[in-house]
Amino acid sequence: MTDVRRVLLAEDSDQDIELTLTALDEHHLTNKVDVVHDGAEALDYLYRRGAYASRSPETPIVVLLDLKMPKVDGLEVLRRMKADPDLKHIPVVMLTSSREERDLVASYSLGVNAYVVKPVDFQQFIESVKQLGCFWVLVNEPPPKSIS
Amino acid sequence: MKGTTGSAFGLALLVLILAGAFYAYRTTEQTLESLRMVDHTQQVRIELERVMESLAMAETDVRGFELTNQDEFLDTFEPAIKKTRTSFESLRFLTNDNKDQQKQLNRLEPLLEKKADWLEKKVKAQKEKGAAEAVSLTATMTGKRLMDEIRGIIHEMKETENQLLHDRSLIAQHDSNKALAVVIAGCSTALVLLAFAAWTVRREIAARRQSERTQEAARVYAESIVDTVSDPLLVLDERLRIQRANRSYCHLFKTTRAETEGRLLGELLNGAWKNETLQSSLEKTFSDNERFDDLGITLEIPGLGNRTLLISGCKLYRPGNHTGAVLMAIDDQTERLRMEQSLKHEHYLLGTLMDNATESIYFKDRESRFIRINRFLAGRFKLSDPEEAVGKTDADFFDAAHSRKALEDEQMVMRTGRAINKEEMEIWPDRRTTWVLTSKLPFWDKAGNIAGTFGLSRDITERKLMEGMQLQFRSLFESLPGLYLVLTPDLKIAGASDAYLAATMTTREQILNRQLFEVFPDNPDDPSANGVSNLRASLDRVLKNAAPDIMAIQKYDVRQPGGAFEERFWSPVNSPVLGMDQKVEYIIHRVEDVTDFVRHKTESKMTEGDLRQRMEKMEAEIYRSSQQVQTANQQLRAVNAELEAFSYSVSHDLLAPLRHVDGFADLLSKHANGMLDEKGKHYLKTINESAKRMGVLVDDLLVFSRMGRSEMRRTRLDMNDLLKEVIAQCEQEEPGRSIRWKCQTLPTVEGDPAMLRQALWNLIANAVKYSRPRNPAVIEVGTNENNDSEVVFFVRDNGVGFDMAYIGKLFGVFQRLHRQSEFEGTGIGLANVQRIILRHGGRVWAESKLDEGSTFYFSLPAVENNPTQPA
Repeated sequence: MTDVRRVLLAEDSDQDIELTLTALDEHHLTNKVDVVHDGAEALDYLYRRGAYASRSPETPIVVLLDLKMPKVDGLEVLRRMKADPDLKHIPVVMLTSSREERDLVASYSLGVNAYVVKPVDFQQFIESVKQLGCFWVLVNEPPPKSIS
Repeated sequence: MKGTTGSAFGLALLVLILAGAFYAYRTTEQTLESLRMVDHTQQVRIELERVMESLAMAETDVRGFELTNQDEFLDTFEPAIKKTRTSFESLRFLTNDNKDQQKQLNRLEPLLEKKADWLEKKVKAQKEKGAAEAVSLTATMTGKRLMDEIRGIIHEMKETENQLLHDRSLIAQHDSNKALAVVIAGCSTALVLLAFAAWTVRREIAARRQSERTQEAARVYAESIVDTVSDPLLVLDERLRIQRANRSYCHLFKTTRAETEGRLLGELLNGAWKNETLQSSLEKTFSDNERFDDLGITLEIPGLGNRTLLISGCKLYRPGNHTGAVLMAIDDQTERLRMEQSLKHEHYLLGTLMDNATESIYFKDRESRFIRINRFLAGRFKLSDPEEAVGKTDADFFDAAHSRKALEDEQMVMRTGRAINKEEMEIWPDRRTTWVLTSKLPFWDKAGNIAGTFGLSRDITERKLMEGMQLQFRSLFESLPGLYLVLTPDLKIAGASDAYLAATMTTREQILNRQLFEVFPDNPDDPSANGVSNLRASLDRVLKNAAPDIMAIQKYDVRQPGGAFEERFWSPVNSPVLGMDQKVEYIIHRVEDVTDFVRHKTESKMTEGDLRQRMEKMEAEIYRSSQQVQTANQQLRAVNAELEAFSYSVSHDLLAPLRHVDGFADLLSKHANGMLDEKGKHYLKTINESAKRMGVLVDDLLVFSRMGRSEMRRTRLDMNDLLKEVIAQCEQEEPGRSIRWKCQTLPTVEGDPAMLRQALWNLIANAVKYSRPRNPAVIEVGTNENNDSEVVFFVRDNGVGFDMAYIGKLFGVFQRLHRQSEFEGTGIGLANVQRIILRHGGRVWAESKLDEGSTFYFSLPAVENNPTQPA
């Protein structure tokens, strides 16, 4: 892959970050992942401000969002992204513990592209994340840069 | 040194040089002549010498022959005689201009011939008669005498020539001296003249240089004047080509000298200067030397728009240029015209304001005399023309007291320079009073001194009357005996009756314009206080429905001035006040204070009659129980909300650590692969399994919780379709099992598809699980015991069954009748089934025999009955 576009992972739990990166590493995708630790940081990253003011203007190829995060939660990040004409084309995957119906409904009605429940079983978890990485980073054709 | 003097000098110089030259020539000629004569004399002397010399030679030759008798001596005798005669002939020729010398020569000639004859006679005698004859001839001395005579004449002639030489040398000396003097004099004169000429030339050059410098300075001076002049200037030649454009020109037309000079007027600024009137005026200035002034033209200059210009032109003369040039001065009037226009416009606006404003406007001088008033004020003064007020004062129109007050105000405005804004009562001479809202302000003259005042006043008499009336209405409202509050739609207090203030022990200042619930909060010491939320709900209803809302008797704790709360029972009614657009503008909150009534009842019920007492007791009971129900509902809602929050957070936060335990245990086992012994691997495996099991437990518990909480969506659904789906899923999860399905046709029911699917899934999955030891397993699904009110379904298997002694535990949460190692599970499935069926208004029960199988039953209300939702 010559695509330099990054994967953005927004996750507040260090353990989950480590596990997710371990899983993504199965496809050697770890070095393509930028990690932020809450929703506010995710928005800073997406809008290239604060600590991320100088990052390259490429939009991420996919955003993996934890739902429950400090400061700004995942749903709010999703809502802001989908309401912004510049960001709404970026695929967003909710990667979360919860299979609560209201979270699913809220995510889908805000236009999430996929909703993945993190299984407790690590092997299953690895499998889910691997597939996720494989699909969104390697298989899915991202929107052209001109509209994203 | 001017022309005439110069040429006279030249002529004199010429004459002098010519005269000098001529004189020098003459002198030289004379000198040469003198030198020639000297030369001639020398010649004569030389020839005289030669005569003597050659004659002596001949005598010598004869003497030699005489002595020796040898003929050799006679060889040179004849030539010497010849030489003597030749020299004599030369003397004849040389001295033919001198008579004295010719005479001497005449004497000499026979002597010379005699001598020669004598010598020849001696030679002849010797040869013929011998030497002795010759000597005797010599002894006669004749020869010697002849010789002496000759020598004497030659000597005389030499003397004469010497005298002549001396005289002529003197003359020649004199002449050459004269010539030298002339040459020296000429050279000196020439040197003097040359020096004079050189000095003159130098003076000429210096004078010219000075003149050039003066001219250059004059030119620079003129140039700087041209560029300093603030009017744009152009200098044109007769073909109307620009020779010079000054700085102002370039500045005004935003151009440069390079773009302008050398070009034709008509070409400038893309032809903007093409104007026939201007062109003909300029040409006329050239031809008739007629100047023109203030020729008005309008040019459209690119980038500057239309410019109105006044052009003046006059002819300039320059030495050596007979056609001259025209100086064109440009006066740009555009800004002035624009200013005039804008001033006119301002004037028009002011006039419009003064003529049409329906407020009074006036200007006064420092003595408060009117300078100008507008038409409206003139009307108030009953004047037909505003001009009539000029010079008059307030005293001419108002009564004395008012005029005095106005004068004081104006003096103050002028003293402080500050405006006064006030409401003012005007008293007219006929004692009529009006009210105005007046602003009085100072105005300044150019020097910055206050030159007077001006003012604006609006007649507010009507408003004043209205205000008076409003005040009256307000005081009427406030004096009403009932308890009233007037609220705005955002629940601010807009008014309160005195009675309300007395009942709440507040003052109007404390509560007006403040939020209702900020002023009257619930008693924080009483956790059961709910007056605020009840009142808020009622007010919301009024706002929403725009209709009055009557509230039940409420207990309020009213804050006393000391801060303590006093218990009050109120019966409030909230009524909307609608505006023109039917929207709620105000809410009137009327309160019936029934505190006395309630207290009276509770305190004095023993003194009343039985019936009445009972009724009152019942009323009180009803009131109390209604309050209890309200409280219970509130608590229920709170518990539900808490439960919701709890399970939501479990779903998020409880699962994450489990995932971490499992994940890191897994990573550890990979990381430590080979270092762990069997026991270590076993421990890690146990950790993994426990975490996974806990995950399953939490997931199931969450599903269970959701089944109790989530809202039901009732639709008609075909249980056969549901059953098919569930069977297909179960078979997929336990492939390779041999199961015989016996399915009856099932009726259509009404219920929540997701929930009923969950219930059916739990029952069928149990049947499949517990019939695992059977081959084939037989599972039967059907209905029986149907009646009008309900449908009963059953699921039967031939599995391991259970002991009916434990039936009571069967449907409890986390209750299991088998070990995990025998049959996996969390013990929530049947609890789920029971919860779902109960929510649908049905029942669940079971029958079983150990090792023979179990039958689970559940009922649902019949479709036709349209059952009400119990949850």
